[in-house]
Amino acid sequence: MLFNSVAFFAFFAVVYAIYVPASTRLQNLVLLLASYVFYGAWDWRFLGLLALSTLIDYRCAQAIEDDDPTRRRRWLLLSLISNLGILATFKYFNFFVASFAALCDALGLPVATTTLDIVLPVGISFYTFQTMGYTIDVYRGRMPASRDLTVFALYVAYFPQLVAGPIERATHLLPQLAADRHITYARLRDGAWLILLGLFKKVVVADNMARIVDPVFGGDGTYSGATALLAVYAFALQIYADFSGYTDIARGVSKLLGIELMRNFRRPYFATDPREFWQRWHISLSQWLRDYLYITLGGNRGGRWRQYRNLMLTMLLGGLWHGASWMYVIWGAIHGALLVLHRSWLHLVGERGLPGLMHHLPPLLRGLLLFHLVCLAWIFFRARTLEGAGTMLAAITTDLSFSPADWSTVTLMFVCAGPLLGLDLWEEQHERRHGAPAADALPFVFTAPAPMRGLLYALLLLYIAVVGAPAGVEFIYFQF
Amino acid sequence: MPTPEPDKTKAPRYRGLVWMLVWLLGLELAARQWWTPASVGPKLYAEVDPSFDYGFGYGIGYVRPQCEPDGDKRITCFNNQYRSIFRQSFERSKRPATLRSFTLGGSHAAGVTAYTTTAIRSLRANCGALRWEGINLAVRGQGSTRALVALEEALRHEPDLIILDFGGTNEFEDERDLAQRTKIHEGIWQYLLASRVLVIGRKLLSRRFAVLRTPPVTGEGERVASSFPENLTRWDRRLAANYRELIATARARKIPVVVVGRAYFRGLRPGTRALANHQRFLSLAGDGVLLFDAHAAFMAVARDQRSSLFLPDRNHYSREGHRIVGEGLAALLLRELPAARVCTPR
Repeated sequence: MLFNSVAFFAFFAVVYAIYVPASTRLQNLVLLLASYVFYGAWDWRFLGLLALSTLIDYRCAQAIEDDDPTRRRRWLLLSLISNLGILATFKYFNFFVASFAALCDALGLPVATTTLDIVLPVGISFYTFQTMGYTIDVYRGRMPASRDLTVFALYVAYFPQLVAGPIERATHLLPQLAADRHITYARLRDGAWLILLGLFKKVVVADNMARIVDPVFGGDGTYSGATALLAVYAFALQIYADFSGYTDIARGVSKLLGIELMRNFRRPYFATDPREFWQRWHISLSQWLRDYLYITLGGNRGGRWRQYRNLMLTMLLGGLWHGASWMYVIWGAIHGALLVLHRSWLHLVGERGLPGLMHHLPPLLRGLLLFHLVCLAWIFFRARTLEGAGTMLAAITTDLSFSPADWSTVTLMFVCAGPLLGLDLWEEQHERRHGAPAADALPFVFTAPAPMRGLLYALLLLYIAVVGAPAGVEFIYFQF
Repeated sequence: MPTPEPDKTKAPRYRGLVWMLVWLLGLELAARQWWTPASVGPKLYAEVDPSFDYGFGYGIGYVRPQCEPDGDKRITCFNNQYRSIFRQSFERSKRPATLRSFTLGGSHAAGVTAYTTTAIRSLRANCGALRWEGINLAVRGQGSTRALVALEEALRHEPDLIILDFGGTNEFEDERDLAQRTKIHEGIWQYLLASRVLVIGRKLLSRRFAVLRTPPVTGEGERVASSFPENLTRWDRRLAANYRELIATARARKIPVVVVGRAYFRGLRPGTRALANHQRFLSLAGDGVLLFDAHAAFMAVARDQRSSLFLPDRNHYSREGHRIVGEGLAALLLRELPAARVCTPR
């Protein structure tokens, strides 16, 4: 059930009609049932896995809180092993076995291996990280264990963010689920706007960019460097619009339900250094990795080299989180290397008093440089094979002559992504001027005279319908 | 229970949404009113047809060809993105002693230079007692399934004769395009595509950007599909069934039908599906239809000149080939068509 499908909106309309007049307890039951129906619509067989993960963490967290302090660690380990075990079995088992076999082969020691014939459960990486974060928070004493199974099960399975995040912190979402909801006019308005914006990002930008990206990355390598370069730019736009569009719809739907989800993106391509990029891209994952992995590994403590090692390890595992493939690991390694280089540069500047060369560059140039480094990493993320990525890079570095078809592609990219870039640019300027995050919508969207607002909404709807790609395409992050 | 937010603003909150609906409705009405051949020009109108059928860019549609009243007295069949017919006009009220024929077929019969034009010219020269009108609705790539729709259009305009020319080579296209068309109409799009603003907007956009158009057709898909015997069998069966339905529909209205059998070149190039329709063509004689055997007409030409009757693709007819088919067809009609009895001497 895709967010941009009629089926989802029909499903949500039914859920909403029951939800709004109900009491808080009943609302939670309705949402829980709806979440299980939503997840079951993908593959009902994995509902058991979801319920198992829920029960384990529900019980472990209570035991961590109630049990003798000396045994709390065991309960935490039980929770972590269970969650990571589920993830390892369903997502990484075949990958590790195949990699082990390849390594043995390379060493001249061929081994017979067995792989599991299993399907990857949708959203498994998201909800296992979310529940692990909860038990760790309880263990660290940051929050009490939940004593309401319905509320906790809803926290794990909450359908707007179940399959592709944001990976919500229990400290943020659980209290909201336990409390009364306030469905206000402002929330309805903002929610509807976010849904519309998310649909725009998905249908107009992401799905149309896919038409440029897929033939090149899926082709036989017979493309010019300019075509390849444009495909890389298009993929950068596609994955941003696809994922942030999903998050916007999830946040919008949640607002309609009276629940606030965290922002997952903050105009990442306006970042001017790698650290800032990760403060803006997939924020819920990068914060999770920082708080539960990087800091656990030692974080910034223990010397510079240990810090670099921690950064690299965190990004490698962050890459692997996206999928069981070495290409994701390479993608993570590139980002890890960028973070390490940036950090070491800062150390050099700080210790030896070197002039901050990078900081003398205009932000636009720094942003462009970083954007292209991020694009370089995207090639490995999207190409699926090293050979494919190599072909792509070879084409880009050897022949950059633009044909009329390439210029047409450039125009199409502006037609599709221009409004999104304009909105992001406005938000960025607003944030820099006022020092506070901009609202999700331009001010005049809600304050202009009614006929103007009506025209704006009508044009946005028409833009989605006219420029949007007709066929329903899955969100990219569903596969993770 | 949800707590309603205190009302802090006095202005009605949903006025923007009401205005949105007003704007959408206004734009839709404007599109319906003003997107006409007169206001946007026939060329643009032909390329950006406001109705939606198959694809946003090009393709053969499953809607009837566009033959519409053109002024008070005439009907014009427009060329549009779904029907690459040439523009043809005929009188709205058929005059007495008129014999109006409609041709349905694929590329062998399509175009102003096809044999139907020669046939009509020959008929006019040989039989002045009748006003011969020939409307050619054959389209390159059209198979027999789409011809069922085209026949509906023909039947609206008082036909006296239906000429059918389908060799089975376009059944793949019919099937493939129908699948794509069904996909495009899935889900919410079946409702959205009723909007002319949307359809016109998308078509204008697809004129500008090739990537937004229906994927270009290549021969590879057909070649692969033709390698499966079950596909060939299915296409053969469908062709035969459609032929019978076309004939039955016309005959139910007492309209004579002529089936034009394909002439074929013996040495077909690899990858071209065999035009094994001759047997099927002969089998249709049982329905009491007129048969014109183009292959036999070609065989009457001296062997060393036969290759000149085909284009280099060894499939479609050359100008000379069209002439032979057209004149042969005219002779058959003068000889066998009941309405042509007035054209004495025989």
